[in-house]
Amino acid sequence: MESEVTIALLALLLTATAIVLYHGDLLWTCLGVWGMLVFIVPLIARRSHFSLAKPLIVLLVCVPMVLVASGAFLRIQFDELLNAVLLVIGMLAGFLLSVTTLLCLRAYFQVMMNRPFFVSSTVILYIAAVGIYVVLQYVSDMVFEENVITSLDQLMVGLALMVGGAFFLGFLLGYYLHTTNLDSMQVSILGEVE
Amino acid sequence: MRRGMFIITVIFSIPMLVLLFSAVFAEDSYANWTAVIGMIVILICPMLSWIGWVETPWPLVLAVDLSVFLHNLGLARFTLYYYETQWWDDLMHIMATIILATVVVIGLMVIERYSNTIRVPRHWYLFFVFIMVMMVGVTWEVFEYMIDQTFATDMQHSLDDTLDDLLSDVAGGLIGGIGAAIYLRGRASEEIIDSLEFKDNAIKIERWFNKKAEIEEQRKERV
Repeated sequence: MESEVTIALLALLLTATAIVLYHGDLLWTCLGVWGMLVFIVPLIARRSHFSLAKPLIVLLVCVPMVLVASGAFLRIQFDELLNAVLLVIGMLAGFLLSVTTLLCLRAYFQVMMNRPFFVSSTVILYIAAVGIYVVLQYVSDMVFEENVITSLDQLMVGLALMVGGAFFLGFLLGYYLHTTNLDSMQVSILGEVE
Repeated sequence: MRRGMFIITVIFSIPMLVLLFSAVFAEDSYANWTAVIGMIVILICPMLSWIGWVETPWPLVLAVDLSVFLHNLGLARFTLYYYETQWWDDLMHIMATIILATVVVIGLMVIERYSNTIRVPRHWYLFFVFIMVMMVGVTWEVFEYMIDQTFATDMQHSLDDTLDDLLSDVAGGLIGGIGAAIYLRGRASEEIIDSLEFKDNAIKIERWFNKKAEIEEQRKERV
């Protein structure tokens, strides 16, 4: 049953990613690819069985991905409020993917981390991911002669919000880990790792 | 202080002083302050050596001093490389990110040497170096934007300039990370870290890491 759920969610995420990629939405394509990687890593890291897909990842990546993909597929224009909400959800999904990526490193690749190193690495990874996305968007704009990044102010205000948000979310993560610990968080997100 | 570090510092301090005076005479406050900060940066490694904290390897000292000098040279009124030579800014970003990548690698090796609770396998260095370089690159651009907005300076010339800087950071991060991976192949981190001569600080660093680990263990038990 577990393996069927995982495969079904992966298929859903793959379809949604393919649709947003076809419609040229780079942000959600990146989140979709990253989400799939986080799904796939435990499967390829010599696991003896498929684990149940992570509920938070499903909620924060699959659901908005399907919403964005449906909107793109049916050519529905979302209003500004829904776009803003989707952007905030995308930001949270990105942060959660950073957390999950580092948990995967810890669980499957012998990277030993304590709490402060884990929290700071998460914030660093998240801000780096934002930078990589901006570079990809820039390259995409040059290759396809588009104009998604329109002005310096738009870009910099976005980046400043993301950097501020990363530190705020990092602070919340640090506080959360202070009340629990990394091992139990790893079990709740990745499941029991052999 | 090692002889090599001393010679490099003296060699770069002289033209830096010339650039500082030229900025003062040109009444260019931005270049002036940049030169003052540059002089301080050039003196950091010798100061750390002088107070007995760490002996920075001479290639790193050379790279830091060279990049500080070239940065200030590009701002000088008699060259204006930053404004008239398109690739100058990209070159500076790539140099700075390679230096940052080297510092991150040294940091990771110090952690590997002295910490019992953090361990990053060598093949993951590239990943950590790259994300650290990108993080600093993005944060630097935000910092430049804030300085421009607050003091009406022109650190970020245009949208393309900012995006080119980020692209250069990607290139520098990859070059630095891959270079470090190649350099470290077959070398023990103990050997490299011991050459930095932390002396008494080595014991302090080890104690600090272990104390943190002890506190963490006690907290875990309480939870």
